[in-house]
Amino acid sequence: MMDGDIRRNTYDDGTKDMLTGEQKIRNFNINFGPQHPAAHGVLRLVLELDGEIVERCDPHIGLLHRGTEKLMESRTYLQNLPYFDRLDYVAPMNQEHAWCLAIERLTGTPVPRRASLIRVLYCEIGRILSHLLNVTTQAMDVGALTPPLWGFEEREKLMVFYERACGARLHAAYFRPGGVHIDLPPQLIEDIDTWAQTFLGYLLVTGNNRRDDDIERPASFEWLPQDKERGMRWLQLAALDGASLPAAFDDASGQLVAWYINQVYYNWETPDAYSRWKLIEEVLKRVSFLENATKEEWNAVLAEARAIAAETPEMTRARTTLAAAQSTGTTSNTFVRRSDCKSFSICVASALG
Amino acid sequence: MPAARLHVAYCERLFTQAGFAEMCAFLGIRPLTVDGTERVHEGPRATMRDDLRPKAVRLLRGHYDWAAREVGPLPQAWADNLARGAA
Repeated sequence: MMDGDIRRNTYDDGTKDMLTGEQKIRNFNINFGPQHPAAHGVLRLVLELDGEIVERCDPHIGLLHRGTEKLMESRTYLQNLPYFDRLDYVAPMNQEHAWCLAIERLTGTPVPRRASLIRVLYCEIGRILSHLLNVTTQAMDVGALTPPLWGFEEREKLMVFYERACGARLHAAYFRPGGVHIDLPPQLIEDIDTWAQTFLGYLLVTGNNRRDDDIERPASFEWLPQDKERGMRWLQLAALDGASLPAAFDDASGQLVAWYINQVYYNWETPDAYSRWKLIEEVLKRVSFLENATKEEWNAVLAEARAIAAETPEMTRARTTLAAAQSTGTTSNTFVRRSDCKSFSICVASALG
Repeated sequence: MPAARLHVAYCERLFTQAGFAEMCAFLGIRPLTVDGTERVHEGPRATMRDDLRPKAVRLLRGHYDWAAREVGPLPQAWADNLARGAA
């Protein structure tokens, strides 16, 4: 019995409500959005409900569409680039990258090595920006109000990296077909490197750059890695999914940076989510141990986790693919060497530095 | 809109002490002291190559003319750049 159902009540004198032929139970159709606060203006769902059960869902997408393609028809390649920041204001440079890659492929425009690395670095930052918003607001959707504030605190630091690179926090207009607008200041590379190391601590351990009263914060995320599905969220939050997770856990980091770039340009195969989860699961089991870990202890844990993850056929296949490409000289592994690398961003920052 | 109710200022002028004082006067508020020289999160400066300046001026001349006509006299640095590019 649910709200809205027709009830047949029994009274003290034993009589019952009459049911007539006009009374019928039927499903309820409602609009979810486009003005629903959780739908954010971009999605309208027409739902057919049987009580709390959604029997049918008719999604209407595309409400964010603002005629970008039509605007672009009367502008040049370069003039169109800033539109891409507006298409995804959570990770703007990633959108610029797609536009630039398309133009470069069409026109055969080469990209300097350093510019390519800068773009990958900022795409990684964009990915972290996106995950921070996504995962923490999902926590808000289930009633946890505070995680988005933590996420935005980290996002703010990344927005500063955007500003230092291009002068804009959000609408960067930084990538160009053939490279980027301008080189990065040297100190910025170092600061991204420093941030990347503290960020991993923020995610996995205690938020070690925080005040004591903030230390319990990661504990609030303890529910995340408790099962496989939720663990995926953890991976996303750590921005360690995709090819950057193996990068984070391989001390021959240069190989894995090459792996990522090759994946971007040549669409290489990557381990599936389950393999990645196996890897992070093993590390998470040792989170408390890692709190004050030395570099050697870190490496020991990572080596063990790698061995376990390597047991999955998907991971083995991906590694074999990489090794085969390296043996035939189709990829370069010489431009990064940083044995204590803990995250992909550090790898690239080191390469640039 | 009556001209007395509209205040237009380029960034180059606005973030100077004089430009800020003008804006405060327009708004009818007490003038504030600003330090327009402090640069925050500064990136590297971009320098345009001399051989590209004429091309840029040819491409953008219409935009600058529009701004000068519709918004007001261009900041001196802009005018200098245009003169260098046209030379």
